[in-house]
Amino acid sequence: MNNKDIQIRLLQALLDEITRKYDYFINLQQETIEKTHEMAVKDHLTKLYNRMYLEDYLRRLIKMSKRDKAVFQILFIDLDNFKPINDIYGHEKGDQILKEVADFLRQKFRDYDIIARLGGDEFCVVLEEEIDQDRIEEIREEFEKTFSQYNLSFSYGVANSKELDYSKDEDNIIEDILKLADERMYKQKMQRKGWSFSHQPN
Amino acid sequence: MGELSSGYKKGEEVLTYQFVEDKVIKNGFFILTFDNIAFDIRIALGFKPYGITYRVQKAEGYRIYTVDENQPLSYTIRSLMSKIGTNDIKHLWFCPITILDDQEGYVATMRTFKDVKDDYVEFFGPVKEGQHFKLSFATEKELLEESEKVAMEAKEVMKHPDLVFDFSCLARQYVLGEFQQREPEIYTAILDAPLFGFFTYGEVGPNKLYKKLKFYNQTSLLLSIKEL
Repeated sequence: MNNKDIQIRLLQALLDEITRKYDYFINLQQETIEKTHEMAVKDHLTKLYNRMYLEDYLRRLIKMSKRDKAVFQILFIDLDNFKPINDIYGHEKGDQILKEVADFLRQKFRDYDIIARLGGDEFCVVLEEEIDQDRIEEIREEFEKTFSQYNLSFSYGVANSKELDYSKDEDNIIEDILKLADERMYKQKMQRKGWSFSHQPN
Repeated sequence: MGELSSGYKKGEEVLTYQFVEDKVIKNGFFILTFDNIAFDIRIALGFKPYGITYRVQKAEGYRIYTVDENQPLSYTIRSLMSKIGTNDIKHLWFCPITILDDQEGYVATMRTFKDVKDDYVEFFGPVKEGQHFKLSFATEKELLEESEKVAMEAKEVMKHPDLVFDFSCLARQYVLGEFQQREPEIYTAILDAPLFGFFTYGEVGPNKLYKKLKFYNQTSLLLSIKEL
């Protein structure tokens, strides 16, 4: 092996080392970006999207909807009988149940539906296709079976993008649609109150 | 300025020999002084740092044990040697390390590879913990261009020196390969004076401000003197 061969091999080895290190840092950077993004947009406990991401997503959806009249729905979910779980079993158990609820919702909706935890035991699903009430009732029935040990159920309210006033700015429209779905959920909860609050966890 | 003269390796020890009048001195220290002269000192390097920056984590004397996050440097260097397809440490004289933190030198402070053991890499000069370094590289052409540049600078200052000394690193000669002869030829041609010198295992020269001495590797030290 002459000096030229050695020099060429040496440069190749240096390049190889640089490439390896470069790939390492690019992957590390990517992981950091993903982790930071995850922390910024996901709820720490349930790993569902957080309220900030939900509003950001809705803002984009409303802009698209203004342009091409695309229809979407908001499903507002509030758990029934969750508070007694915290009171009886403690917050650790309560957190565990919330994680299981999140898993249940992930299974029942499509990958591209945006499921967010708004806080406490409130959840919101953004559906880019209309969902009929029977399907939601089916989901609730399955939910009650899954969490029968805790007599857990949920009330819900649905708001449709067709009901919105698109002359308003995006932030006001977001406020309107969430309020509308929340009010409907609350109305349903009141109607179900007799059933809901007569049951306590086993 | 001064140099570590090359010598005879006996076991792990390298014996150096100096000659004074009719005496031979083993492993001695020889000081030669001149009075009533004008002088100019230049240092030629030519290597440039490339690639990854390493941080010395554990070092002792001339040895680096680990770099970065507890990574044995010997592992990285052995991997490099394996990619080159060699066990000969001299092949790494093509890529001495450049100490990046040391900005005091007339030229960058390089360290030439001396040995690679299981748990450390040894150099022909001291390294300190916390220092950052890169591997470096130069072609024969780049080394000779640098030698030519310093000779031209010396010529500009000294005009017609009476005597020129060149103390050039043995590893530098190795990199120059078949062009070894070109360096003294360049000095002689440009400075047009008798040239004396020898190959070294490390060169002692001035720092950037000519106030302190520094220990260099892979350089050629050019001293031009003229009687006043």
